[in-house]
Amino acid sequence: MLTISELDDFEMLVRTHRARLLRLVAFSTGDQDLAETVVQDSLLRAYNARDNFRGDCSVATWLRAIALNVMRDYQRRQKFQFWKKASLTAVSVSDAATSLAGNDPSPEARMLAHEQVQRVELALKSLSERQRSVFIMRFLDEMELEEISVATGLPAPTVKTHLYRAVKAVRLRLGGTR
Amino acid sequence: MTLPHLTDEQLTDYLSGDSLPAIEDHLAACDVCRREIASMRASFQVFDHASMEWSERTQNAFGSTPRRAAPSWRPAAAWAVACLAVIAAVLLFGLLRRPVKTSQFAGVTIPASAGASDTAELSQDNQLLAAIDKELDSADLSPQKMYGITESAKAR
Repeated sequence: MLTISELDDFEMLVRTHRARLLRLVAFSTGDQDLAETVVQDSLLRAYNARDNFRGDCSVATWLRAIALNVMRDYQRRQKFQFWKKASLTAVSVSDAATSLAGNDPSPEARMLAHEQVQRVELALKSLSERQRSVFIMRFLDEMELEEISVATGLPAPTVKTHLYRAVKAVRLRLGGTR
Repeated sequence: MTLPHLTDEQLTDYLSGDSLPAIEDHLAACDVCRREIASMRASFQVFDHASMEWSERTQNAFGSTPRRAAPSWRPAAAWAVACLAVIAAVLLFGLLRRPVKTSQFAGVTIPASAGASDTAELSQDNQLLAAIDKELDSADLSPQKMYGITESAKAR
C-alpha cells in the first residue's frame, strides 16, 4: 500500500493504480474512451491535490473516490454525449478469456473460461452503474465494505444492498439454483 | 427433505468472507450450494484475470503514463536558446566579413611566390562573403520560420 509520501512519485502512482482504476471505470460505465479520460484526469487531480490527502483511508480507496467523482462529473456535464452516439467504445473482455484457462490449455478449458467471462459480463450489463462499481470493488479489487462506503460516499448498508442485488443478477446468469 | 438453499444475502456474505456458523453448517450438508459457490468463485476469478489483462493491455497500448503538460519554462528556454544562436551567428559573421587592414600585418613577411595567387583568392573569398551577406539580409530568420510554424497553424 502506498503511503502519503509515495504520492509524490507520480510514475509510481500511475504504475500501481492505473490498471485497476481503468478497469473500475471502464466496467462501470461500459465506455473505454470515457474510462481512459476519467482515469487520466483522476490521477492528475490526485497528484495535484496530494497535500489534501490526510491518510484517513488507503491511497487506493482515495483514488477510487476521486475516480468515481470524476466519472460522475463527466457524465453529468455530458461532455461525451456526441461521442457516445458517434463512437461508443464498448468494453468487452470475453475474447481475452480464451487465453486464461489456467494451466489447462485444452480447447474445453478455454471454452469454459470464455463462457464464464461472458456470463459475468452479461450479468454486469444487467446491473446499474452503481451496482457494477460496488461489485467490482468487492469481488475483483477485494475491498472491504467500509472502504467501498468511503469510495462511493454511500452508507455501508446501502453498499451491502447494491452488493446483494449484484450477486443475485450474477447468480441468475451463472445458472444459480433459483 | 429438501434443504432451503442459501439466500442471495447469505451467498453474498459468504463470498465476501463474512461466514456465519449457520452458513457453514448448511454448506457442509448441501452439495448444490457448495457447487454453486465454487462455480461463482471460479467465474469471478476468470473474469478478474480477463478484465485485468484487458486493462493492462489497454494501458500499454496508450503508454504507461499519461501525457503531462510541458513545464511552463520550457518554451521560454527554447526561445532564449534560439535567440542566442541567432546573435552568435550574426556576431561571427560580422567578425568574418570585417575588412582586412594591411597595417595589422606590418611585421609579417610574405613570400614572393604567394603574392598574386593569394590576392586573387582573397578577392574570391570577399565576393563569396558578400554574396552570403546579401543572402542573409534577405532571409527570414524569425523563430516561426525556423520552427516551421505557418500563419494558418498559428491562427488555429
